Amino acid sequence: MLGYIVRRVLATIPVMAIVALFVFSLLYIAPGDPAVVIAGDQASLEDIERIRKGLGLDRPFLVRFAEWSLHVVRGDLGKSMFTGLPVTELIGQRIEPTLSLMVVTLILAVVVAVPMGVVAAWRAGSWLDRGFMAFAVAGFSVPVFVVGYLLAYVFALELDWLPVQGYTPLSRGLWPWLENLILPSIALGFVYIALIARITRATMLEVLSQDYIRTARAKGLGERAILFLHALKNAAVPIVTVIGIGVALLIGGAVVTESVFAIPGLGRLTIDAIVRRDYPVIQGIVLMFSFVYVLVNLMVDLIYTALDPRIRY
Amino acid sequence: MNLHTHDAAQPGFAIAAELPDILPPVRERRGVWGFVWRHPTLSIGLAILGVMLLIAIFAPWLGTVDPTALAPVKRTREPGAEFWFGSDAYGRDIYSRVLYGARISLGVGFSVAILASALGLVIGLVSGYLRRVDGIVMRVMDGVMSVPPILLAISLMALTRASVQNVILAITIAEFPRVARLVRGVVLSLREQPYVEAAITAGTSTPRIIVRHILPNTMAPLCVQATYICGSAMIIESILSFIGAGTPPTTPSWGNIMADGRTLWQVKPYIIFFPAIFLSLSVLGINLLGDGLRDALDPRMAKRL
Repeated sequence: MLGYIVRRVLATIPVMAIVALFVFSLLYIAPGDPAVVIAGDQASLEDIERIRKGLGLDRPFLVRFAEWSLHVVRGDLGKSMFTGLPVTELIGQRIEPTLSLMVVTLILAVVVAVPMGVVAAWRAGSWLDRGFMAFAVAGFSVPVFVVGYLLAYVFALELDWLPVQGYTPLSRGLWPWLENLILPSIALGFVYIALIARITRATMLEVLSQDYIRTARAKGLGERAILFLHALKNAAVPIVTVIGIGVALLIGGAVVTESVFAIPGLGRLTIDAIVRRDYPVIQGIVLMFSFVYVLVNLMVDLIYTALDPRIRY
Repeated sequence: MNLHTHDAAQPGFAIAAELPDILPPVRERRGVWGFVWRHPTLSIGLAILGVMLLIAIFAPWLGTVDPTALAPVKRTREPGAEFWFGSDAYGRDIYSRVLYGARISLGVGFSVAILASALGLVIGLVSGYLRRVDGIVMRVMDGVMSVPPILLAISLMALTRASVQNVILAITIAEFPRVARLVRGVVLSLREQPYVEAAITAGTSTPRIIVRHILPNTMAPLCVQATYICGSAMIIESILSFIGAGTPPTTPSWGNIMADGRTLWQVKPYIIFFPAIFLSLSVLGINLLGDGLRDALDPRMAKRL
């Protein structure tokens, strides 16, 4: 068991190296000359040359990549071209709101979506099932910021139940913190709920048709115990996989949700960096989130072995 | 000898008496309505998408004005007789912008779907069939897929000029590894099939096996995947434009119209509302089409999802 975990953890190192190489090479993949684009239309030749030097585009790719990876390994993601501050410091200042938003959304989505999928599978073909699945299709079709504005308009502006925008740090109390996160996490969780509910329903349908479920029914076990203990446990692996994969949706969606609800997190940092064409900041954020994503899926793999002892690689 | 005519009965052949109608006749629905009856999801999706396509094609003749014409005097007018969907902060007609926006948004969606499918198909076929390159190609695909698609598109857009072509390229790069993975999976299971082994034994050349025996069987899942990519690309385009990393701000794409309404949303929510409805409906149509296609092409999956 321990040997497997160690092997699995070590296996993520080459994955991270490939991710880092890919994120780094974006500078070279992008069509056109990034230095000219970043400098903008009013830039002089000296400006362009300075930016090219700053990005290291004047030196060979491999040399520059080796240098950059050494810095990344030491936890140095470079400096902002606009403020001159280290990117890690900028990320550190903004990480709390984003992390809060993502964790609250994750919990909310799992708590809502899994029972939804289970009930839909249990009553497959009923109006409840159709309603849930119609909601799931809608969830895939409405962009996160549209849901966000809709929720903010109805529940904050019209009904005045919750604050419209903003963020309160957790250190100022649990409720003020949560109050500001309810609407954003519902908006952000919309697609995620749709995704998890659909997979839960599909796997549960398969599991519920198996013999041991019939046995459980035959011996007089209650429906709730059958659904949530016997069936859900065996449907868990695909569901956990999708929860892991869906974190990519959360990361991308968080950038937009923060913009709608004026949350001063990494999304705001990203958008400011886009406006200023501050590429080192964007690169740092993308790299950090990609690593987070790889680590989340590492955790998912490790959870597998706890859920299904047969799984060994 | 004509066996089908009863009157010319041969000696020794008994003619069966006509069976009485025990079973009620199966009412077979034919034509367009029969298709709609058998594939309701697919039909609704096609209908929505069809309407959006017509809107995109006939935008200039649907009572629109120049979608980029500024009229500061008439800015932020509520929806009414002059401006059906209202006017934005520069006095531009939102109705016209939304209708012309259909061209950009659908154009981006379709282009990405076609490009990503083609690229993913080629890479998936090669990688699934040639073991030597498979390892390397799939590790690279894993690397690309580890970067959340929206962030990948954002960073590419930060490095290039804002243009519709670059948005299409950026979203394609973010989406094609999923197609490659899918195609590779199908190829891996197909190459173990007896008929492929038979073709190999018969001495069929590798390119011919790929084109004649493998490729046709990847088409069904590929079509389904392409529709989902189209929907996802339209959403990513709107998100990119919304946060200022997409098509040039003057281009009337649905994301850009909504980005224009961002600062005014508390007082003039209709600026965001109308493009949002069109975008959501279009993506819904595409997703329904995808679900319908999947059900029609793979009836076993239909029961599950």
